[in-house]
Amino acid sequence: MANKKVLVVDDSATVRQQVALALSPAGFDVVEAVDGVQGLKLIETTEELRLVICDVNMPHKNGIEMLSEAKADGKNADLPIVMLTTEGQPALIKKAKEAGACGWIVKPFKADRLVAAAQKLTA
Amino acid sequence: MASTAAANASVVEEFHKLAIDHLQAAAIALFSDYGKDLQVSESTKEEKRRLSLSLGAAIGFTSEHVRGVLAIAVDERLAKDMNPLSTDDSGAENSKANSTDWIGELANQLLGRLKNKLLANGVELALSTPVVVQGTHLRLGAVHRRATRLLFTDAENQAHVWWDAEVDSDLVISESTEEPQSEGEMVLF
Repeated sequence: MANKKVLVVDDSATVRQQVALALSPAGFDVVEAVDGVQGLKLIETTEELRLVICDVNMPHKNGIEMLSEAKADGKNADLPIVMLTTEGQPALIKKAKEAGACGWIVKPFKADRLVAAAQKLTA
Repeated sequence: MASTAAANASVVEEFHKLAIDHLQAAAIALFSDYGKDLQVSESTKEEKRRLSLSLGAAIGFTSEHVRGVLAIAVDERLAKDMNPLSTDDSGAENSKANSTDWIGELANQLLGRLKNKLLANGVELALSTPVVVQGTHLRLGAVHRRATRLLFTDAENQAHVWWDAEVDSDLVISESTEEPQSEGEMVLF
């Protein structure tokens, strides 16, 4: 069975590699984007994408903007998008939830919990 | 009039004290999460044995009544030691670990923690993305009178954190009942 594809969007190469190191051994193929612009492009062009893990504060297009555009007009309704960020403010979490996010993780993340969430969301 | 001015000055003082207290707690917890038990140091001896700071990152922030910058600088070894990618599962050195990228992310996580703590005081900061500098014997010149430098040390390491904030005297510090989501916490909707 083919590995499930996960897109990680973060301007930090360290965080992208951390996510890849956590998910790859659990059978996920990780695709990377450095900001919301590239992330949006990869959401539209990556075949059989099963999950997106996305930072909030990024240059060019932030994670909330990317999320809103990815989910606008009912697009990508079945694609789970989880926010992974330093931000924890309730108003921002509510805004992301309303825009279509299915989860919120405050950095630093625990690898085993990220894997468990990825498995649940792509089951 | 005089009492109003005094009250406004008092709010500014109160905010700076709150921010520094929060920043110290946030930095100690962050360094601990990445394996370093660094504590606040006020020792002049520590100053004299100042290590060569070679990596630094700064992030701007703003809100309706507060604006400024937070910066962090460390030596190369400390940056490497705290980098979660510095070694692989077998303990071998990971050639993909990037200290320059990591110091920017560390600054981002530190300011994120401070932001979450200040939410409880009714102050909501918006953050910029980090700028990273690399060199030898880095120093930061304070632009404002209020700039504060904090030193965190253990027996071998030093991390320097600068906080430079300009605060309007009409800032209101309040208590918020909204609890921010904690570091490491995951919520699925």
